[in-house]
Amino acid sequence: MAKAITVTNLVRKYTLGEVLVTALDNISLSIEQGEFVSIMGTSGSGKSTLLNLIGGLDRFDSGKIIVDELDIASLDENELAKYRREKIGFIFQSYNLIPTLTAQQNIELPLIFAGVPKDDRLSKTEQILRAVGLEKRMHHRPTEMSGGEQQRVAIGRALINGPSIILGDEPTGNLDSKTGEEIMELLTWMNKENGLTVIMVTHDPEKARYADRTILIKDGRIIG
Amino acid sequence: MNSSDIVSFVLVNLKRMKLRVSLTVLGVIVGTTAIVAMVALGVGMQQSLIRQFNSLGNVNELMVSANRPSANPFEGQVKNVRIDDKLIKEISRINGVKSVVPMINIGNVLVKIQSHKASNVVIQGFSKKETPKISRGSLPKRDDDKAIILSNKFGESFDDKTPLSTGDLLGKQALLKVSRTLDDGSEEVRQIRVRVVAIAEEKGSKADYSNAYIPIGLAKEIWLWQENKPNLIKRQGYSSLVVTVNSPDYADSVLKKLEAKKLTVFSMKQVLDSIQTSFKVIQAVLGAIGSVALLVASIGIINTMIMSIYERTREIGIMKAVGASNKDIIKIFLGEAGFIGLAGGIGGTFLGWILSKVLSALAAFYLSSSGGGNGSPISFIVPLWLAVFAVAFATSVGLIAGIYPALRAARLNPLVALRHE
Repeated sequence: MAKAITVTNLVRKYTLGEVLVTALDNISLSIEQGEFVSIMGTSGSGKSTLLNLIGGLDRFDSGKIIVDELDIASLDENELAKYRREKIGFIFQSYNLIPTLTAQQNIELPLIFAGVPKDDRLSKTEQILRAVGLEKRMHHRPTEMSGGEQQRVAIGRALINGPSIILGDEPTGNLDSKTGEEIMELLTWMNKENGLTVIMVTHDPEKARYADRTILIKDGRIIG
Repeated sequence: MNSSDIVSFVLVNLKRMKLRVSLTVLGVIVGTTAIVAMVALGVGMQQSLIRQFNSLGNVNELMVSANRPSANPFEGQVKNVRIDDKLIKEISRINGVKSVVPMINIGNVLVKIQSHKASNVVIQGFSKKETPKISRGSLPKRDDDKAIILSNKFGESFDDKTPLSTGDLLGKQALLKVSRTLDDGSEEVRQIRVRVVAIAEEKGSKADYSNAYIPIGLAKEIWLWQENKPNLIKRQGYSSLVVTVNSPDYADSVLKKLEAKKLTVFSMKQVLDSIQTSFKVIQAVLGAIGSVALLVASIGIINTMIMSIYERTREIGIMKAVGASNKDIIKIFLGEAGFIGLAGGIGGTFLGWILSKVLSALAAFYLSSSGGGNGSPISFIVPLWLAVFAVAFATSVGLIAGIYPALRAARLNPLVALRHE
């Protein structure tokens, strides 16, 4: 199978106050196209940092990340925005929806930045709303929805631009176990039915079991 | 990002902070109002001065004289060229020239209408091509008609000090008495009968009282008789001409050609042009004073935008995470700042226009009650160019004020922005 993501000797350091912290210490890994990988580790282990670097949200100090033959370090700000827009779909623990926009508008947002005409946007968002089971919540704002529904909106937003990689940073972290399972079902569906590569950061072994493979990280290094 | 999406983004975002945006817009309104009212005062002053100026003379007219001041102060005037009928013909062929009329003024004329006498009247000749503007009566058909046009307040300048309504003199017979001195020192008097055919328009100057106008042919005949020199025009020529051009646009080119013929030319348009130039400076200075208020308002825009970016940091992070480019972020925030400028500009222009109307009315009221005559010298006029300029200027100020906040928003690290509470 083709390698979707190859990470080689990745190092990311940052300063916390006056202390230099090595968040990622020489990490190498590869993830195949259509794989469902979970990354586990305690808080502060560097698992979220790894996810953010793969998603192009942050810069790293040395090493290499290749995604679909694209060298992430070589991209400028503009190309990085395009990369996030076209290749990546993010799902966050705290949903990160825009509170003033309705479910439909939140899902529509990436399409607006992609310059998709209004008519196409409407049919696409309706299709996605149905796929995540929120057609009745279309005109509701985040505060009018439950946590699970909000996360479904976030998943819809992650899917709308047809990305090849979904990055989930503790997507079930704020949800009760039943809702969390529903979200996991949805992620599995995306992975199995739509062939998307899914990388999920979690510290919950229950949730990690949904994945094909689990990578363990401790103190910025892969331990298994 | 499509421009229609930017507009809807901007409007939605501004709606979220109604009070703050309204107050910021209010600041821009005050600034724009100040600029509009100040420049309107300048424009009003300019237009009232031009109006007065136009009543004194016609910008289509060039006064051409054969004499010019000599370089030698003891010599007085020197004569360069002789203005004869041949030169007049040449001048009338210059492109843009409508008419060329010799200036013939006959002084010291006694005008007698019925039993009323007016002495020391100045009579000017006019051509039927360039007649004085009349308020009543009708113009003579030919240049040698025995007709006279009286100035507007001629009725008040009779020697017997009984003011008459000039209008009552219309259609009456008038007797012109002119005299010349013969070679032997004796005085010869000639009387010409003319009919009052029209009354001139009011000019607002002394010429309203003791001037009268007769057709040029008649004037020339009287002048030649009075001067009493054979071949006067061939030997001496006329002392001056009035050259009328088709439109003020021709005034400068015709003036150059006349000066090339060594004639001395006085152009009302040239004087007017220099007045216009100084008024442009005055308007710019008044506008600059008004701009101070807009400058203060622009600081308000910067403040509002920075506050809003601080509050929306997380949102900016979200937009970046889902693929907004730095350019998209810049467009959104520049759009918001520009819209504040535009709204303030439109409001301020409207308010400035209303204020101008009110101030003009107040000025007219106070000046007329203190005996200011017709046409208030202080008026506030908002021409279309000023309105367009004010709106465009306020919008630009908004955009410029938005540059720094927009760049600040665009440069936010998405990860840091997402963690912002």
